[in-house]
Amino acid sequence: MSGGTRRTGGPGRQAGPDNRTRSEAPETLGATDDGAQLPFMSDSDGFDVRAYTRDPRSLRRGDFDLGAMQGLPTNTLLTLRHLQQVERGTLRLMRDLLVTPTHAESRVTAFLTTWAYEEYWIADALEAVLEANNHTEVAHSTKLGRIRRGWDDRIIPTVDAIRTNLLGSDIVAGHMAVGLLDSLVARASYARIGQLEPRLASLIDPIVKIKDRHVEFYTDEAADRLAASSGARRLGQHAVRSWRWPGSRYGAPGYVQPVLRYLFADPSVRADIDAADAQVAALPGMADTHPIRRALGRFASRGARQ
Amino acid sequence: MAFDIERFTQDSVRVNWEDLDLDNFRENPLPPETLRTLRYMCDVEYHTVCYLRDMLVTRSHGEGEVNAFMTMWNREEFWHGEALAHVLSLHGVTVNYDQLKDRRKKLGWRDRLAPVKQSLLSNIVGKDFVAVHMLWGAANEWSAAAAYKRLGVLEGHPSLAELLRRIAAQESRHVAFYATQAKARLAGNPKAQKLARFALKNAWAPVGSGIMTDDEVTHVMGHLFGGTEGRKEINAIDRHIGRLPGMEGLTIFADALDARGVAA
Repeated sequence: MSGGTRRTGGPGRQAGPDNRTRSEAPETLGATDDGAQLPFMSDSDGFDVRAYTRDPRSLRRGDFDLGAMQGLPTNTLLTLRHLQQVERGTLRLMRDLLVTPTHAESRVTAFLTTWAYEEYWIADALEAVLEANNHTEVAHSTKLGRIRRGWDDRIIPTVDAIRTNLLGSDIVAGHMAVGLLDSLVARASYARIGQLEPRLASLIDPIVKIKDRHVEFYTDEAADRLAASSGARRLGQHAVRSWRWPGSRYGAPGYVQPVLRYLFADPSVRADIDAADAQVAALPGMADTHPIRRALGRFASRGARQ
Repeated sequence: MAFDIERFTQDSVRVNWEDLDLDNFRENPLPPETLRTLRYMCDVEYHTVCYLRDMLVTRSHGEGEVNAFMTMWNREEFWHGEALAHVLSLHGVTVNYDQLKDRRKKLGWRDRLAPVKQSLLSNIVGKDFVAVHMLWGAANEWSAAAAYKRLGVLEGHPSLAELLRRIAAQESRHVAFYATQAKARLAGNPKAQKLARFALKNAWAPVGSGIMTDDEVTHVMGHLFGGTEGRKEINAIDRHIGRLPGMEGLTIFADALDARGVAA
């Protein structure tokens, strides 16, 4: 896993550091997160997990112009709520990965630890915008969604802990491919809402940069792991086929569908979706897959039937 | 005792050591028994993500402040591992991702099935299981804070003592969270108290026991908590636990030292 074949560079490297001071901290814990050299943790030549862990972007409420984000239209707020609820589900996703052989991959868990931290602050920032617009509505689970959630919380971790550990470390490739899909659609969603509502720019631009780094990590990991064995590719293909749009498993389709229509119905967005799909198709064993377009198509046809 | 989760998340930073003069370890290295203890602490801190996993499969995770805490706690503990790895690296001891991966893999099915056990217990016991987790977490964080403070005193190296003080300060905030949660969930709930008391008395072992060898656990317990002063610290932790609802008279830490033959 730490061979010298990994790629270097990528869009996330240009984003700025998290260099806030935390003078309000109750104890003096030392200097700020300043990204000084830490010589001990070896890393490979690809995505620099060490650099990522010591340079997280935690988006705080004072970092963006909340005053410019008052009076947002309802469809924007519904979309922000959807995205916020997806971000809030990070620990559930983390659980689903950690019960599998992925938990032993210390490079991945170091990433996930920092990723969860960044996601936490994105969700908090989105909550701030929603609060500023007095938007308290949340998407409640349907009856079926509640059953699914109970199943996913109580049964699946147990089943998966046994099933995936029997399958072995090839399963990690699929997790990385799904992580990439989740990050790609998140990035596309944020980028699009930023286009549709320019007043959100000071919030959305840093989020897109954060997502860029997540995409970069997952691309790197998925590519290496899928290339490693035919078993990994087979499990990866299954994972990509089974992938669902984030945040769509528990709520009513009638809630997510307008969000996706708002974001992606315009034909001008198709090129962005195709570009995201192409990033997945470029992975070993994933040629001709169009998981994102397919997922959007399912929502579109469901909408047409309603 | 209240716990302000908003303040905790806002203040949560990775522990820093870049301002500390640790390089003089190259000329004045720490003794082998201290490095052995630091290695133990380092491995346990890095293992936090697996402890997190075991909590996430139970009802201990939720939507609100527990999730917020776990996110920050996991990251802070990861950085304790990084800080200790840095000190070890100055002594020529390398800790890297590949080694951590090997170590986790070697834990085998016992580790892989840990979430299954936790999930089944949680499903069988129900909500009261959360009280056990919180109490368990409090006990472990109390012992971690005490261990770092104790090592700082034993070693007497000013920069190491400062690093350990910073780490212990974060551990103390973790104690505050777990103890507040445990107290709230145990108070007025005799069933949860009975269950938690039974679990601590019969299943608890010093943090790291499941992932390190018995020899290592005994070394660390003896190194940090052997002798009169060490036993004082241990008795203080037992008293903290004993003050929680239904835990009066428990002496799990003193019992663990006695069982390992660590003299007072």
